[in-house]
Amino acid sequence: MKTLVQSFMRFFGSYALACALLIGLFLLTLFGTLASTKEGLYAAQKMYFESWYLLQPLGKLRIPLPGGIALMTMLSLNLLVGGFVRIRKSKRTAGILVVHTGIAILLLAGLVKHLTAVEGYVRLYEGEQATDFVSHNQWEVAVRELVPAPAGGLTSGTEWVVDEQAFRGIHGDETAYVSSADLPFELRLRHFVRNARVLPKGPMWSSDYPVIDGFAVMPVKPEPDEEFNAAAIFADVVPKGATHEVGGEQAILWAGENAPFVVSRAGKQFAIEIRRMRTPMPFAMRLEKFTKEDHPRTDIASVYSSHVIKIDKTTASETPVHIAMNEPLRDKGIVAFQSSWGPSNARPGTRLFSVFSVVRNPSDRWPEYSCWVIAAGMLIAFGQRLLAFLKKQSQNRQVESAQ
Amino acid sequence: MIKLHSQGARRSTTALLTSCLLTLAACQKGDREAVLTRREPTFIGRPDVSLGVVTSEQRFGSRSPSAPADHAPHEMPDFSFDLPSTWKRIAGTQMRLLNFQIQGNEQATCYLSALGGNEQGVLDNVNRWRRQFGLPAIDSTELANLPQQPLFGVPGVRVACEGTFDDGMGGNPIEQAGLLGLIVYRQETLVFLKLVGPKAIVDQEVENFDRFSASLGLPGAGTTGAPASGAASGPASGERNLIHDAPVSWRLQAPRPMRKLGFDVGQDCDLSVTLLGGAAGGVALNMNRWRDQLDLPRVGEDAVDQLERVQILGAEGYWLDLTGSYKGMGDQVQIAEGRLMGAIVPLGDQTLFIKLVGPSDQVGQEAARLREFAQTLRWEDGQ
Amino acid sequence: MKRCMMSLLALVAMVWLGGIVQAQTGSSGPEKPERTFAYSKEILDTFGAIPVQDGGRIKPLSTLAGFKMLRFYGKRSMKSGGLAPEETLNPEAWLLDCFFFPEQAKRYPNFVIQYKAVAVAIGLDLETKKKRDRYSYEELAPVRARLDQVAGAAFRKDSKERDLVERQVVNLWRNVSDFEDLCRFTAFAGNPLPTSALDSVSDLYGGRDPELPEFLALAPDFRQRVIGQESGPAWQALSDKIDSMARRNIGGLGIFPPQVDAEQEPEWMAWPEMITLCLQGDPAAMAEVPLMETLGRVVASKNDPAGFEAELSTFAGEIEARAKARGEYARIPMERDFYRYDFFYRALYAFVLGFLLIAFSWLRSGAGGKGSWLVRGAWVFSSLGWVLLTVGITYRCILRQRPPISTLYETILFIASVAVVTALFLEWTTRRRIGLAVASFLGALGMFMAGRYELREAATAGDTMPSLVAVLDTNYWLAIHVTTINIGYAAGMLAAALAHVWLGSFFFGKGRKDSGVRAELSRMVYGVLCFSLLFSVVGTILGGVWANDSWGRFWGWDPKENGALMICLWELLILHARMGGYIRQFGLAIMNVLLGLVVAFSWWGVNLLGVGLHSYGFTEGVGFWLTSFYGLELVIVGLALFAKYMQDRRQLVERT
Repeated sequence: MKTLVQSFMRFFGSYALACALLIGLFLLTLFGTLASTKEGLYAAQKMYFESWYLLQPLGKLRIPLPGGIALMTMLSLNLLVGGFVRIRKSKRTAGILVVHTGIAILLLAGLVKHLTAVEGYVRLYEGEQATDFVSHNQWEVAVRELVPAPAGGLTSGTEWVVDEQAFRGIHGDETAYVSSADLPFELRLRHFVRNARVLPKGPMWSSDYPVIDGFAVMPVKPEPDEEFNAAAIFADVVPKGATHEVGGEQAILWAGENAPFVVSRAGKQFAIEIRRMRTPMPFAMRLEKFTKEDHPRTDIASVYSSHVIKIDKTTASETPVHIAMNEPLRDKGIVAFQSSWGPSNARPGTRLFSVFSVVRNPSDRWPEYSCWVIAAGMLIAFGQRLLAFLKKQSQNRQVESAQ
Repeated sequence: MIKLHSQGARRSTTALLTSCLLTLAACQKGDREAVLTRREPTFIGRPDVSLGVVTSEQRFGSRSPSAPADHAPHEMPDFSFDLPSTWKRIAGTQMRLLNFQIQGNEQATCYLSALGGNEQGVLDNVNRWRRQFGLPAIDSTELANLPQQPLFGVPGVRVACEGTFDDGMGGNPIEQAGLLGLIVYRQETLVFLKLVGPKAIVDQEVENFDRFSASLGLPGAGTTGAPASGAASGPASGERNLIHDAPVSWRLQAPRPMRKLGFDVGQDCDLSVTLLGGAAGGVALNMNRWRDQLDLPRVGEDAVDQLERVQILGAEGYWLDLTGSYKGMGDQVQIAEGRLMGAIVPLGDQTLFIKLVGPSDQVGQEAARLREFAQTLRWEDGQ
Repeated sequence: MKRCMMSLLALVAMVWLGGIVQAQTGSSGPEKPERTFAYSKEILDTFGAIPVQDGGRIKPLSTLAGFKMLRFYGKRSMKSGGLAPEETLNPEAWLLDCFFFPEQAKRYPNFVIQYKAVAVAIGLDLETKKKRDRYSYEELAPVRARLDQVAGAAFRKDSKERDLVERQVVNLWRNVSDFEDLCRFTAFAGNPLPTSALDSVSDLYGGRDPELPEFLALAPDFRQRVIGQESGPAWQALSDKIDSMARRNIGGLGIFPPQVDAEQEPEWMAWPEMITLCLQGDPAAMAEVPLMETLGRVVASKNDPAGFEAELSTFAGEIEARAKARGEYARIPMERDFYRYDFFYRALYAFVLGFLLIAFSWLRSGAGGKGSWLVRGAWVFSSLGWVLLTVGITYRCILRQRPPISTLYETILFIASVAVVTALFLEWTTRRRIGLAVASFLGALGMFMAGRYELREAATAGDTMPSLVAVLDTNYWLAIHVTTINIGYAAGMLAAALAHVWLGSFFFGKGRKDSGVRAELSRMVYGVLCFSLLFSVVGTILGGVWANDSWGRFWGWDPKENGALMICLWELLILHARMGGYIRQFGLAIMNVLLGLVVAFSWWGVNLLGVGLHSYGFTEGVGFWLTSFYGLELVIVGLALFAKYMQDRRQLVERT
């Protein structure tokens, strides 16, 4: 047992492993960067850096490689065993220990972010308000109970959602059975299409998917930037408990539709739709005023910022906040950044909207801390070596001039 | 390397690996089950106004039912006023922000206009009106003695004249005419409200004029101040607005002095929509003017009858499609293979010109859209 | 006698007259310059100092002219070939001609077309022209429409999908359109407005047809007069003319500073925009009309050198006064000085000289000891080069009011500066003449790259001091992150350069002393590598912190971020491999040469990929240089590995 532990420690603490992992990460980063030009950042990120393994295409071959998560896990292990436990602790290695601590903080921040962080955006015209932020690239299927609105018509009451883990990639005969205790029906989801157009089915084209009400789904080549894709999915609304029986009300759900699919059940109306995933914020945001200045006589924005009212969801108290480029709002674990505006081809006088990137990430500031730790460690370590070098040089020169 | 010394260790490792692989295999393919999680209502941007059960046609068709558009249409609020029963609102012009015909009489009009200027402009304009009636000019002392009446809450001077009205623009003078007007000055702008016409009518309309001027309010949030400053940012507020449905690919230009609407179309084409008062010289003359610009020979009056007719803005107009070498106007770039497509629509009190000009192939591509666009033109107040 | 005199006089008169006739018909052929006088130095100076608002900042016309010429023509001086009174036109003279003698400027060989395929694509007749040549606007006029067509087709493609010919056609089209804009700068002069035909307003202008400034001066009155009268052919003609002049892209150079504070109204006006505003009675625009009138007078006096100079001075004076009142004139003289001193070009010369001197001292290795004059000379010139470079960078900082690096062009300058000063420091501590050689070599290389890249910047951004997009508009992060990471790049390149020297010694130096030198070199490489690692790692993380503060995510696996990460990983790999004993001097040298490739990829390569938030640098044609660099380095590495292999085998043989 002891020898097993020893060999384990020797292996995981070795320079050889460290070098191998560094080369591995280097190559992974290189391939991932090159792939991102074709597949887009999001897809490349998922495939190379947020996976345990991947199959790298090399001509006609597909070579299995460890993914980012595998490599980082091994690296953390190597860092722990080799960089902390097995390393000789002396004055000479003090700086390096500090550096390794900094790197550990960084890796930990990455892990926390990967496991728990959610990112998205909020787009508001002046006067508009949002309670949630919207994901750039993840979908959800939502069921909304429709209740009468005070000003007439219907508006949303309670919502039920299921995220894309349940249905992304569903194809062929596969079905996702989605249900909830409070709803008087269940959903069967089939044929997820990543980017599609829904058009009247005419004789000129054929669709691989069922035709419903004379409309069919035409898949479109997905854009690398997931934000430009409009997903579609087929939904069957079936009575509770009858999920595996044939029949039910069928519909195409499409992200680009004009209005959602609505069913009446148990005396209520429910809207069922596929939409970009929404994550609630602990406060609502209302855009009071958006200002943008261009560099004079150009179309390049020089300064743009938003005056926003932050409305606490529990107390309903309102706080005015100013969000600008490089000056985000940080509150209750949410960070909201002024990231852009639109429409991009706006003429003077067109109504503009402001776009905020929103992120919920507990390890938001850890990289900053790790940076200072690493810098301090390196200054110590390299400073020591530089002084030694300079001392040796002047000694050499003294020796040489004495000769 | 790690040496697995015991068989047990080896077996457990194999078991672990196998189970990992199996789970991996099972994870991706096949049916899934999931639970819908209940959550609080979301609100993003505008309220989610639903129409209830709708047809697939409505959900996927090209024209959405009353679902709110992604951005508010370019609304230009209008002046607010109490319109007297004998007054009829007619089309504004470049210079007239509001324009009314009184008692159905062609010669009797009341209009609102504005100009940049200074304090001195008040006296200058009073005298200009007086000149139009052949009356002698007054000086500042006499100006001070003129009655005061407010317009848009700003104190101004009330002018009344009578006599033979000749505006010096070449129109027929009106004998026994009268004028009632208000001139106010504020923040570097002069605003005029002028009622002019046969004296008999003017005398009858005094009360209406006063009531109207008192009720006149600025567009938007009722801020006091000259409306002229608002004119810089869009079509002159208060003029009868043209509404249209332009294709998304057409880019609306910033307002220009001589056109009602302008678009940049395609790569190099320019579309202008202009309104000119009266007959504007007639269809033939304008057709020839455009033919000149394309270096084409002029044609006679009878060529007008050969033109295709179209219905635009509820009136019959003439559709033109000319190809030639576009000389442009003044310093515009020449287009060797140019094409001009558009319409001339006599509307009675004014004439509408729609003119799309650019390289021949691009104009050809936009032809269908142009026709559609022309059909969507309508007045804001539904007339 | 008298008759003799008479006939002599007659003879003289005939010769004299004949000369005149000859001069007017024969000598200069069909193309004679409109401008009959050469621009005096005063005119050029006055003109060059006029401030103008372009690309979001106030700059002197000399800068604008310089970059426009660089963009169209490829150089900052043009041979006129007899088309102008001067032999060579400097940018100010050229721009003056574009403004005031456009017909003449249209005959200058303004536009460079590098590839025959481009000329063919737009239908140019190539009978008389060689492959790479310059064309005048007149020569391009017959194919102008075709140029529009081909460029239009290329525009519709995504910019990444355009091939070389399409990119060149698009550039040419942009240049030609830009040139046409410049030629319309004074288009209002000599273009009277037909008001005399319109009864209601003809008397306003005394029955004449006024030119634009005069027309606009009375614009409010004009508008009053025409209220309700906008009909008839005379009105049509007038309104068409006004309309056509008001289009923004005609002569749209923002040269009229408003008379109010810069805070209130940051935009300078171009005369086409003033038309609409004046008709609306906008007081700010009306206040600019006198400036237009002055400009009109400059145009009117263009054929009289003295008059032209005087009017131009007046015009320049008025603009300068207004710019000063708005506080926007302060750095104009400084910018003129900056371009006049041409720091980087001179630094290039200094570095080259320094390198030559140290190379000689190596050749004369025996005689060239530490205190020899060659070495001292090399010190002087390398230091001089560094001082010029750094002063140039400082000037740019002050002119832009920003930390030293905010564009890709400035990275070249900064990296060169850091590399040179570090190498000089190394020389000072080691005194082996290696540091000096590397310093002057890298300095010269850097200055050469900067000169070439400036051409690119001119073609794409039109200036090497462009306005920054909002996310870059933060001096704090620009100072901290960008500077740090560029120091990292500089040190990385220096380490790679030193590794090359090590390899050189490995190939050519077999003696004992040489192996001593190599050991020291190896230590130098190691030291610089550590220096680079510190700044690269800290800079990379700071970049993430900045990204987190402005976009909301620390690390997005963006190509630029990945490039920086790759540098850190590679440097860490070298360090750990060395610590683990897997590489020694040779391995260190090879891996540092490869580090050079990694840094080049991060510095330049990622911008060619064009994906993600980091594509700020415009880098057409850099691909060629980068690929050549990669090829060369890989050949060197290959040769080194082969030589090591042979050496090892020989040593093995010797031992057995």
